[in-house]
Amino acid sequence: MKKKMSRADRIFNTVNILVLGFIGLTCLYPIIMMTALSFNQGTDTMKGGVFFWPRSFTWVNYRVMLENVELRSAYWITILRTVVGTVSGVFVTGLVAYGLSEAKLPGRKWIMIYMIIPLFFGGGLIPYYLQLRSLGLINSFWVYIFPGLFSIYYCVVMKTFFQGIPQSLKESMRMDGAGELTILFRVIFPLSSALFAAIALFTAVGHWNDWFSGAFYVTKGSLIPVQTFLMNFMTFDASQTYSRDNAQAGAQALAKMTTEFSTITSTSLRMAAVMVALVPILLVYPFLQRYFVKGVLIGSIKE
Amino acid sequence: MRRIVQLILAASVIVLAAFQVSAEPVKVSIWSAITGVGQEGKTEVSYSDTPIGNMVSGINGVDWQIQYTQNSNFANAFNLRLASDDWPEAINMPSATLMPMDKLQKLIDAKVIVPLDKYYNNPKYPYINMIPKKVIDYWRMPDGHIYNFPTGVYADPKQAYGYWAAAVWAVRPDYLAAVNMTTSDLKTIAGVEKFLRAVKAKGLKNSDGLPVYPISSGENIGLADLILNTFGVSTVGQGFDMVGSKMVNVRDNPQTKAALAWLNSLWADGIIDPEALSQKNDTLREKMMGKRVAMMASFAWPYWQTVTAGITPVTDMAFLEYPSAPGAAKSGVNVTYNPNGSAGGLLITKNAKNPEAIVNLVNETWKDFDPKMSADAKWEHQLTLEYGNRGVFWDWDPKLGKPYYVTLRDMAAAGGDYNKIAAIGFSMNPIIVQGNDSNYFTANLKDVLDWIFRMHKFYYNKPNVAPERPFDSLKMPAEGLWNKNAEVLGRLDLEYKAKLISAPKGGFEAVWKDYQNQLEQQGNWSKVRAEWEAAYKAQVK
Amino acid sequence: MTSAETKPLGIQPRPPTKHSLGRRLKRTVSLYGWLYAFILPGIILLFLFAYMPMVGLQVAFKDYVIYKPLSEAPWVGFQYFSFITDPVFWQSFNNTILITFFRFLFGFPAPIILAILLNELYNAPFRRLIQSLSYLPHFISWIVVSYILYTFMQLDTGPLNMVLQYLGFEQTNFMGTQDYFRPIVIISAIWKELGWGAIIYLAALSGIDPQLHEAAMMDGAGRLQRILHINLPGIMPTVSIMLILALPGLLTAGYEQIYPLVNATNLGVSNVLDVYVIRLGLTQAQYSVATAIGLALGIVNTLVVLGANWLAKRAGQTGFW
Repeated sequence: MKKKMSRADRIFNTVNILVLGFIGLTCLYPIIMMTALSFNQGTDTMKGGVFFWPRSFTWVNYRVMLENVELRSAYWITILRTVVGTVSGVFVTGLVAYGLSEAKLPGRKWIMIYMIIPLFFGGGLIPYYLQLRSLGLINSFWVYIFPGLFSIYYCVVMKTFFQGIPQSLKESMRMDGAGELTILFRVIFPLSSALFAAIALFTAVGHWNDWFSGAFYVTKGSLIPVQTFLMNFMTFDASQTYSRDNAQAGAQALAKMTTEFSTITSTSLRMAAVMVALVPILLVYPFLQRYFVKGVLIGSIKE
Repeated sequence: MRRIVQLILAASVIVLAAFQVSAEPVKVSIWSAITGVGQEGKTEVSYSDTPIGNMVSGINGVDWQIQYTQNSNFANAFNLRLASDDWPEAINMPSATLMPMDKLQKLIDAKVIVPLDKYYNNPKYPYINMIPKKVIDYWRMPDGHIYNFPTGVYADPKQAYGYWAAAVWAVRPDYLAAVNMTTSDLKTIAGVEKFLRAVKAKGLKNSDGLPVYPISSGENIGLADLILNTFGVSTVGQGFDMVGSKMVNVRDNPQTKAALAWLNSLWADGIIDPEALSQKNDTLREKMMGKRVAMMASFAWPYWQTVTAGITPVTDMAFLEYPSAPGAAKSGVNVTYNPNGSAGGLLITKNAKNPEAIVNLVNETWKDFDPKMSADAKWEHQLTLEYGNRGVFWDWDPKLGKPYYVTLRDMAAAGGDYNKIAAIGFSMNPIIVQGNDSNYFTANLKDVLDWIFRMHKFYYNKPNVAPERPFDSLKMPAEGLWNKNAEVLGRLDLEYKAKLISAPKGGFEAVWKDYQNQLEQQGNWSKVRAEWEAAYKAQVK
Repeated sequence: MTSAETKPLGIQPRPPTKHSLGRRLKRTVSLYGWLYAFILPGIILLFLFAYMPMVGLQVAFKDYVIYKPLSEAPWVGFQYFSFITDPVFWQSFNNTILITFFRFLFGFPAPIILAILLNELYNAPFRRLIQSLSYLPHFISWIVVSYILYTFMQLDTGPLNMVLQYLGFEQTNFMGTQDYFRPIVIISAIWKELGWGAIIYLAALSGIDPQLHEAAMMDGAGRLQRILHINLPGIMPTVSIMLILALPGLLTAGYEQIYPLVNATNLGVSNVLDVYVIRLGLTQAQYSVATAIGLALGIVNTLVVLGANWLAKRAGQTGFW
């Protein structure tokens, strides 16, 4: 196939590679910039000109941020809600989707209508907020979990996928006397593991990046997730962030005070904070990536 | 370092003995209603976290668990708390948020706070009895109860400790010298303009080769407010002030237009930092640290707090009298304080597990209060409220004519220098939980404290500072036009400040007209003003 | 969709007999009980978090005070719908439409184009690399994006202005100029979701039968022709579903994105509906007005989506139901 490349093809390829390369670069550069700034001394950053790598390298920004108790607590909340929210959310949504994928289910049409209506019409923010309040979810960790447990959108996606799985598979298992749970775990889940991985990723990213619920549904500082922390941290004077633990750690830290710590600025701390929030994602990224490729491949097998 | 800690511990033992407080301090959660995020970007801080805070709580008997205001926005945080009914045991409401007392009324209606009548006139709390009756009556709500322990009370408002006087004009002396001018050239707005233009013309650069901006502004164009004040416009309270024989609002004051037109002329010539209208406080702070701003006209508090040792944004700036401006006899008011509780009030909520501990602390802080005390003593009392008991955390130095901080001095004498002490923490508000003071976490703490103190002393009796006037916070009907439109009007003000300042050459008039139109169309301004005027007639004779 | 002729759950069809309601119910439960049990949590959750708020819409017609029960609030009719004459509302409406329209116009086709371009890339490692990179922004929250924007475009120190200066252009304070606000919002929105949005189309593209391409190539079809005649039609069902799903977004400019970017210079254009409703409802506690606005927008949204679905079906594409 490659041998027969025409000239137009070659031009197309070159342009294509250039365009896509540029897109890739715009996606990568901010990470490079933030990494450089987070490892650069704040007072040096103020001079400008730090674009690709730190000019005067320092760990101090990270030291301060990693010892920040508030950030640690926010981290814990974010991890917890991402894990619990994703696992339970995908599971519940998957169950519902499977139930609905059975075409002959009596009342299916009505249930579908019931499920689809909220996709087009909702109460809006205030009634939703008031409902969370009357369920006692305001200022509770579960406000991050329960409302996202069932997603209509992913349910429809899953349902469509399940319907693409040959009905004969299910039916032959039923003939053999297998229960729905068995079918679900033996046939449906294995066949759609890539889809589940993909939707889990969607859900997890939603959880990880959400700052709104942390800002409005929770007033307790101990419940705010990382993104809300970043929001607060970015609106306010970040240079006030200073690890007292360091100061109390002893003479060594004091000696540092006058040298390294004196280079901290709001910008440098913020960049470190942002990187601290990003690094876990960047670390698991390659693994998620594999799932994705797999998901795409499996998606192509159907039908 | 260890020695210092030991010393503090030793000192605290002595102090504890002196105050005969033996019991463990009671943990009391409190919402610090005005402060956004505490030190370390924290939203919750335990007082006893720091050695000094620990000591303070040992004496107070109360270990505050401070909750800061998330979301930067007080009204937002207040409404969210009201909606979620999530309240700590106590609330510290600064004066600005207490007045007019509609929020207090809401807290009462929602049964969040409890009446405190039984603690007043109670032999168990003799010092609370010393709170002047006038003050108590001032805070009495329509239902006849009092819900508030006021803090920062002045029998004689003229001699109040001016910690709130922080709206400054300041200049960097090195750049002043660089253009061959002196502070005496900056007495008029024309002189200021000459200086600003000279800085621009000279093309000054800082040591890193970055351009020096003659003047800049922090968040929400604070610069514009100070210029308005300098042009004689008052920006406090509900925006009204007596002009001639009439109450005139900022929006209608011809001097407002003159001030903004002046800024516009500077902007057009590139005198003002192009990022002035959009940047956040800390962008400006970093510019100031880099010596990239020659002059400052702003509230100073966002800029003196920094951890960056060696470079504080403000300490090498010299403050100035407000320059005189054409059309203004004196500067407008930008700071008011409420003699009946300038620091606001302490409210106790229904969730308080141990209200007595809180009341005991309040009682202690009133110990030194004497309506007939000297002016210095009044400053002292304020300091007591703010920094802790005199003789323990600070003392008055008659020779210096200013307070110094005993614990700091003692520790310094013990072999530490200010740099080292700064590392330990400096957090001593027993009752005014502002959370700012531990942010003086800077290696040149001494310089910063001195600068702040000199600044307060310099400005506290200037015309831009005034005791709260009866018309500053009129009670407006809850569902009325004023309350309904306040947010939109405030937003329009800010939006058009930016638009007016950055209006293209010759376009200022058109933008001003647009501003007036929008005030009317979006904000119903003339109706809103009429409502205020009616309230003024009814409430102020 | 499974055709109606499929036998129910593989059970042999029985001659239609008259059963009592009870027996029919029993049969249904024995056959489908598990499936109903699977669906039940979804029904309950939707009831709690979607239908109950609809009941809560009555706040729009009541004088509601947050610390008193809703049932005690007096009815006030359509009083709170007077927002319709409020110019601030219309300002926020226009601001929203201007942002969402252009975001939709450029942002909707962008991932489709990216997917097609990626699909045409034969160098597998490079393709994987670009794919990986293009997803990256999706993982970055809006807060972080706002800081990237501020830092990236800062005067004198930000990379963008440094490049502009290097190329001989004037530095521009992008974040402090009202005219740049909408482009910044739209471009950053597209940038953030471009790669992520392409995934679903890539999946659809890889679902296209390779034999189709082979056959087309036998017939001498060029690349562009194959893209136009095989790939595009192949992903059309996905496109039409995504299109319908994208429509409700036309009234949502995105609070999470816009709020961190608000500053004094863009107040006139950053006042979008989301921001407006949150300001009214959560900041100023004007619950009734905010609910009334939400209700009106909800109705408009529904009409838009129903209309789109109808159009999609008429055009012979996959509708939503």
